[in-house]
Amino acid sequence: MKKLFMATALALVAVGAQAQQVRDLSPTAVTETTPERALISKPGWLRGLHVIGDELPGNARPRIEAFVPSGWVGGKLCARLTSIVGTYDAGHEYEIPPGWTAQRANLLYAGKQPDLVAAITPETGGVAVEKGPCTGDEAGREQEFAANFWNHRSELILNEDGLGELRLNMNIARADELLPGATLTKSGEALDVRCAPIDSPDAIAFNYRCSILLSPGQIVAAGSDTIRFSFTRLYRGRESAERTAQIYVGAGQ
Amino acid sequence: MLRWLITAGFVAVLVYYTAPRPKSFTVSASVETLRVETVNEGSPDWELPVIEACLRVPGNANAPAAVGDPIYTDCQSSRYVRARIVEPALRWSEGYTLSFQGMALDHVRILVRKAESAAPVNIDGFEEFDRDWAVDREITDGTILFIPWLDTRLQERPVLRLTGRVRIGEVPAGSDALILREGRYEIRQNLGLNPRPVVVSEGTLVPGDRVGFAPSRPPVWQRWVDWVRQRRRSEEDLIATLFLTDLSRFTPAFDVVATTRAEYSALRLTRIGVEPTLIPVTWTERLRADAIPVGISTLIGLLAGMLALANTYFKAPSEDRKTKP
Repeated sequence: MKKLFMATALALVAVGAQAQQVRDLSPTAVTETTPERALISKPGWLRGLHVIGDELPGNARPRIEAFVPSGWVGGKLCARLTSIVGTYDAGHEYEIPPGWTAQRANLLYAGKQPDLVAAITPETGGVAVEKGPCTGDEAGREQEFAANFWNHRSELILNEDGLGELRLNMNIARADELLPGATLTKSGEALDVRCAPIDSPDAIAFNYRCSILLSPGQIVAAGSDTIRFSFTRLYRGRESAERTAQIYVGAGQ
Repeated sequence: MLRWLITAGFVAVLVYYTAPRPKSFTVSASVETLRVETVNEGSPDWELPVIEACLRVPGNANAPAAVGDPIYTDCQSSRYVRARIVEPALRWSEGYTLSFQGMALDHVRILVRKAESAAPVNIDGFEEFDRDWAVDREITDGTILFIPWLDTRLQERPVLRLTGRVRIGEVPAGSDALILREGRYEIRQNLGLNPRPVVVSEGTLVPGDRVGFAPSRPPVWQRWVDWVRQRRRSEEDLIATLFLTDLSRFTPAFDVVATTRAEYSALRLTRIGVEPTLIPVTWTERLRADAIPVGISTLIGLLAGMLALANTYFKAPSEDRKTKP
């Protein structure tokens, strides 16, 4: 049954049946650490933002294929790679050349741990692709992230309910409950989003997994729009301030 | 013949003491954090002097009316409604995860997470100043309960009994400082000729330990018996019976005693910087704890000694005579 759904998989989607243009991008700056102990205070609450496809075979890994919004062209983007236990952490910075026309970028890995990185999947690690350089703090502005396929074939698969999944690996400290919200930014249409803590001693670099489930119609709409993702935490009876981020799942903007 | 008999006896004793066998555990600890996953089986009623709650209002539901004048609740969000209910009664059913947090001297907090499939649990009680006003509030997912150890207005002390799968203590994390403060455990087993289970092993828990009760694999013959009887053993943690109270009034920690029934099981200990371990019981510990073989071997030793002595005493003179020139 599942196979059948896979067979009907949509190519994501934003641009419908139009051929997807993918171009390689090489990083201009690389930082890489394999600390013996995880540092959960490393920057960023979002440790992975993935469109879920089928796993790639080993020889095609590591591969990060991200959507590059037209609004980012001429600037920088940063891909942060993490393993769930937090023992691997890397930042790759890329410059998008001004004449960039492709819709997707194959963000080439240039670190020293290709085998380790090839073994990581959205379950056991994550890549968050963010607008801007890898350095600098995130306060005072709304962050913008681009979804990516991480060691997965770049075709969204639909689950048995006919929904595609956008998965967020999140590092949320001090939370009894995480209250997420997701809408299409322009239309305001609410999207189905669910979060659950990862109950494992390995869940150090990120400890919550959220899924935004999209119907084929919403996937197409999201491709030319952005998803506004927000969350607050409830901790010991108090609610934290809301954090928001814009998520790109297409290159149309 | 005698030699074979003795060898067989020795092997039988060795097998008897080395084979795994059901164990029961008792853990007594002073903790600031405890997690219980409730079960239906044997779940006792809670009939308390008073309970306070920050009732979580689900996303789009209408908020229930607040009750009474709470003393301990500290929730500060519109997602909660506060309540103080006196003489409450409630019984937990399967599917709730209760995280007990000892953060204040005078009360314990319980964060309640409810599985979607769980049957509703309500607090039935009365408004404090108007006892004709019967109150009935559902414990929603995310509700925080506050149970005073000695209520300032009512001057009554509760004891909380529960059954469920427990996690006593928590490994210290960067974001939370609630830990087990001190504690000890006992492991009991039924041994051969003893009519009652005996303590075969005991030990102390250090601050920051976390313990739980894990099932373990029964020995081969027991698996055959299980197979014949079509019995499937659960792979989930063992169900413990426990009670909570506050013995140490000058610390925010509270006290818990948890016991399990005799099962093929192990005490799972998680300690900072160490891989989680299952505390074993060695055959020497079993042998040492079992007084009967020790007694028998002492008697045999004594008998053998006496025989040897007697032998020497009675035989020696004749030997002497023979060897004399």
